[in-house]
Amino acid sequence: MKRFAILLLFVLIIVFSLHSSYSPWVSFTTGMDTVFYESKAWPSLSYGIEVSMVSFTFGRWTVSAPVRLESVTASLPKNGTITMEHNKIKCGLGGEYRNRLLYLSSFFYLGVVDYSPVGGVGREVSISVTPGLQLEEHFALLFPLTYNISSYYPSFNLQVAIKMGGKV
Amino acid sequence: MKIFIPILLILSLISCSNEVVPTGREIYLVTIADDFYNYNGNGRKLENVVTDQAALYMQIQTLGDIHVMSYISQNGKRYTSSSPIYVPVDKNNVELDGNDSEDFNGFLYRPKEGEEESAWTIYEVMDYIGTLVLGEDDLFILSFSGHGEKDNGALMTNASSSSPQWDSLSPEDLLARLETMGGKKLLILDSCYSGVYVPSSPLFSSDVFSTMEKEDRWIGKSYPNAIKDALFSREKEKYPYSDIWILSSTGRGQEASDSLEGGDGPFQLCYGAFTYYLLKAMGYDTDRNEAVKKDTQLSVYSIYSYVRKHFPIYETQIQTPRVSNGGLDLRIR
Repeated sequence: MKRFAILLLFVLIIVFSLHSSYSPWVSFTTGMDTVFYESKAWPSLSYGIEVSMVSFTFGRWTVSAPVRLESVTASLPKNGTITMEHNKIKCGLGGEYRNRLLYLSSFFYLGVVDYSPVGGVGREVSISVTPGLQLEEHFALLFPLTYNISSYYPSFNLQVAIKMGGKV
Repeated sequence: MKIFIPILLILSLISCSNEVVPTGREIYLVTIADDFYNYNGNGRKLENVVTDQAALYMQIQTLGDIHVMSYISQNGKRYTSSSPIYVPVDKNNVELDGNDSEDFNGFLYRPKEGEEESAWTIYEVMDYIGTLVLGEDDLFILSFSGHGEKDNGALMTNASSSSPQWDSLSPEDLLARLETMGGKKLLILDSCYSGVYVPSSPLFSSDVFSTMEKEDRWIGKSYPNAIKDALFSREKEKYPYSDIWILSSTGRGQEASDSLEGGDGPFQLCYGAFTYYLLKAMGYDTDRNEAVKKDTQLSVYSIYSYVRKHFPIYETQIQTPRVSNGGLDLRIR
């Protein structure tokens, strides 16, 4: 079953390559991250970079597999407690739709959250929905909304991103 | 970027208190110092445990009004006090005029006039802890200096003033008792094998520092394995404790030093290796053996950071202080 899945994946990649245009992109994000724990919320800031070298465009649709690196600052205090700064590295898979003006995408991510310097690591699963504006052919202003479920705490991101590359 | 600051402020106002340290917070402190005087071959007498707990008590008092219960076992006598008095002494246990006398050899508990021994046991300490009622914002600190049982890290105290036997309090029992309490709990352990209290999982770093791992964190052979375990483990890892923070003097399988000459000050040998740097992290003046009231920020992680930064590197390879906080730091000041 595993071999079949890998084979199918290769076939899809080849088909995509032949019938699509290669459209790598990079995105810089910053925004607010809110960690939830026992019905309380700890807001903090996040910033990161997302790169997709595996990205194929068919008309107005694009399928991508980006890699996302993100850093989250220590939060504001809540009842004497503070969520610690931590880093994330995630791999995603998802699709985008663009026309001349509007942009919409949705991605699923799986990765690792690193609570440095406590030194622990945990698994994180994320889903994001991103509306945005396609300002120019290779430049978009995006507003990613991401919900994360990790081994530590669930969190919600509200960010602003600048995306460069891709193809309309 | 600037636009997010007011958004953060608004968000923080929406939910409960955003105070750094909640006003009206009550602090409860329980200190345990057992020098294992009646060792009779079952261990060895510890020289600095009473000094360690005395100094911690004095420094924590600078946080404000605190509720205290101190359990002291020194030189074969066992006392319990809610307002302990500690005096500076020389090596012959003769009281000195000042804490910074060059003859300073530590603190001793001075019983009040007519005070009799309480003959406390570790089980009575647990019973007392069970009587405490803490609010959500209150802070409970349990600080222990004494022996830890090999391999399982159980806290060891003499069973009585006249017996060579000892009582053991297992990590499971201690943590179970702390879990039943409300509020926020800080456990400070200066004892052998105390690293066992830090949960062992990819979520936390509780392994022993070795010469192969020069970094403070898991780097090298451990870190990729930790990532692999985190990604592909079928078990759902969660921080096992609710509102419990732990500062341990050792990693797993390590012994703690009763004293350490790290070249850091004239009285370093009078304190436990770990507690010396813990006290400095909290603002205690180790050159004058005095508690100092500070206004600077202090959190569990900042204490740990300070200790790890200043602990002599050669000692870190033998005794590696650890912290357990589940990714959530606790402001003490």
